[in-house]
Amino acid sequence: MANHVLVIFEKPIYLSFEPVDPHLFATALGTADTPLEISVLLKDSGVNYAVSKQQVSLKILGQEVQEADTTPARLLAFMMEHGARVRVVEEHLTARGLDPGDLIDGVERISEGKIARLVEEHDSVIVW
Amino acid sequence: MLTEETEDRSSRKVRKVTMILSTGSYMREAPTTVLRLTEKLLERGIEVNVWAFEEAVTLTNRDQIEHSEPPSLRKVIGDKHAYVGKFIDQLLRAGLHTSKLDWVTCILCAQERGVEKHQMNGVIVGTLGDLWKFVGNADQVIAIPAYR
Repeated sequence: MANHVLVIFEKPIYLSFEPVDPHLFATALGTADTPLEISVLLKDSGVNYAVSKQQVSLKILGQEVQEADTTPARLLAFMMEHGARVRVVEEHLTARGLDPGDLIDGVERISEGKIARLVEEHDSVIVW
Repeated sequence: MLTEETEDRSSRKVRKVTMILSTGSYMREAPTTVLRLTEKLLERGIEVNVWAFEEAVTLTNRDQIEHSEPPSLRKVIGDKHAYVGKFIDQLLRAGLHTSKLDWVTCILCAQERGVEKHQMNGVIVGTLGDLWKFVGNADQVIAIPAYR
């Protein structure tokens, strides 16, 4: 039985026909509607999801495809409101020229060396 | 290096495995990987739950058929090739006599692809709630990322 689930995002998906990356959607539902304790780890390019001031717009034939006006960061904030801890890998932020001030509130930074321990601390790990 | 903790975890008896699959067939290796793993797990008496979403909901479209290959290529690739749904159907049937296989497709993903009413017999059209119940009840969870 898994009570503590670690969900890892590595590859961000933007500008698809979904209002937001469906993996974020599924994880957000897990945090809000289930008794599982879900933690999120953003690594590699997945760290971009925690950047504030994201604006997603996709127009085809003049029509906005992204009707919902949402962003990955808003989904992460929603998850944290529902008790999820969201962590980013510090070195992966640095590699992309991002600093802590670029992130939404509430996101924790961990070093790369802590990833293995984090995996050990959870019953199940899902890598999207 | 193995520690006592990791040894305990690795020696834990696995009775139930959940696999999460989001990729469709033909252009990716993920579906065949999931089917091969499922076959071996069922053979070992391990219960398998597959939760298929996004493009993976098309894997269980019941309207799949074998198609003939172009005549000029038949010498090198044969007359026709099998479709993925046939193997899922066989695994679901195998599950009747070995260990249980549940294959659930996400209703939202099936609706947006127009395949909700085209799902094969034996496949359950379910919800994201089913995903998290599968995760919560599994001894092992295997998620195949979308880019695989």
